[in-house]
Amino acid sequence: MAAAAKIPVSLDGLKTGDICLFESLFREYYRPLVVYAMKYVRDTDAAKEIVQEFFVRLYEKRSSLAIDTSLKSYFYRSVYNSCINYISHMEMRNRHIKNLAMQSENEFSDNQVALIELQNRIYKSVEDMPVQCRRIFKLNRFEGLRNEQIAEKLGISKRTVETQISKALRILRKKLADYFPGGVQKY
Amino acid sequence: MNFKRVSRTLDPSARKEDKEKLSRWSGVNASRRDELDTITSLWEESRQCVLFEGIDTEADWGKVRQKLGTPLETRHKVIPFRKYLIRIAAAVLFAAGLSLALVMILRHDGKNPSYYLSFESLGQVKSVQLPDGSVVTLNKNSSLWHNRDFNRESRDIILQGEAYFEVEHNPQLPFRVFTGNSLVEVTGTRFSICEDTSFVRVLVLSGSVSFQLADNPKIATTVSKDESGYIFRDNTLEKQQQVNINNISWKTGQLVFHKTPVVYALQDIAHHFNKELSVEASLNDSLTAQFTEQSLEDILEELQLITSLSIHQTDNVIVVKP
Repeated sequence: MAAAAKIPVSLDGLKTGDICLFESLFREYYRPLVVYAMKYVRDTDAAKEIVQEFFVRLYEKRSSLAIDTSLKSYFYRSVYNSCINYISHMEMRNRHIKNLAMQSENEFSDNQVALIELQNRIYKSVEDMPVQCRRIFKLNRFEGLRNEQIAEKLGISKRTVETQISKALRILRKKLADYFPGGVQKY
Repeated sequence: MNFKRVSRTLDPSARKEDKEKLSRWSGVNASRRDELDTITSLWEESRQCVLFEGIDTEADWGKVRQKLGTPLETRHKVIPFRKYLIRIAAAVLFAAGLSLALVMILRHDGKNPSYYLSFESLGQVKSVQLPDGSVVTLNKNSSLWHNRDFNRESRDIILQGEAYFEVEHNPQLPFRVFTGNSLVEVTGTRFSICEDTSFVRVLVLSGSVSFQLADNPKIATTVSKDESGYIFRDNTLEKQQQVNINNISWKTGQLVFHKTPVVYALQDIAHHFNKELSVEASLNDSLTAQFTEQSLEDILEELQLITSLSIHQTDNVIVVKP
């Protein structure tokens, strides 16, 4: 498992009301937590709302917090609980919706969290890629275009697209080296 | 790892030939297979990352920051001019003397005049170092605001509550503090300002300060070392040739009494610990004592020994009986 976010995760800092620390926690965890919440509530706005509310609560009760797990697990666990709460509220209103909370795929699982964390790191690495490389990679992965279609759309050769895609893969592989041990093999 | 061949192979239109080559390469040993698996899973997972695209951390941080509502403890923050004006307006109503002209004085036409920095202390005594090196110690529940270009064209501050100032000397740029209906102007010195419900008090520990009504420079005086000045709600001004050092006990942690009438000493003690005082005995004695960072219990016990009065505290009141 990869080393988690390299931001200060001391709860003591949070307890003193250090807004800068709080902000860095927000910046680190907001996106992955929203994506995580979306898996349960299947509504982007609701997911954002849930995570924002979580951070507000976290700040408000910072002095009485007693977290015996890691901050990261605490964050995901809390957001998970809020989601389940949200779902059951929705359900009371819409009885015809299946009981999502009861489905096994909706149980809290560390694997699910690990997957989101991996995706978050991939996303951050993509954001750090050089402009052209990032653009082409996103067109392929996010918009589902084939290399040929990308070449056409951007008016460049298919070979250039392939070069940029392979560059993107190389960057990803390098940035996530600690996530997947075992050195890069020579071809 | 030949990333180019891998990327070509991952494309739906991959040629059979490329796929076979890659498969032959990875078939050689387990670590090559693992490596190919790694790249493939990165490739697959990256598709899911599209979900991260529509989430604007920056904008949403703004929302959360707003919902936090509570003022933050001596972390400087930037507040928009309109909000700032509203605060000033509130202060104007409260002080019933601060004119809108004053707001204009404070509003410098800097590059970005619409932003101000504020510091709030909430439940703790906190120190703030200003851009000019001056240090302001805010008593509990006090706030100060200053323009963003503080120390460039001016050194103006608005204070609500109580604070102790150690101002860096700069005769070119006077340091000005607006509190309630008062204005204190200095070039560099140590003093404290306290805004009470009925007055603003300045207490000078070194050098001197100019003390005036904020919107009427004719009502003014100079308050020097070991003097204190008061401007009352009715816009009158008064100067005293003494300072009560216990007025800044919140900053020094010290209560000092030298032949002080016991009733005054008790008032200072009650004020220091934020308690009411109820005296049901006649107090004629005076007191000489010094308390440093001591608890109220300790101090009252000592006082009982010295004065042979019966002194007790209930929830919010110090009760003195014969």
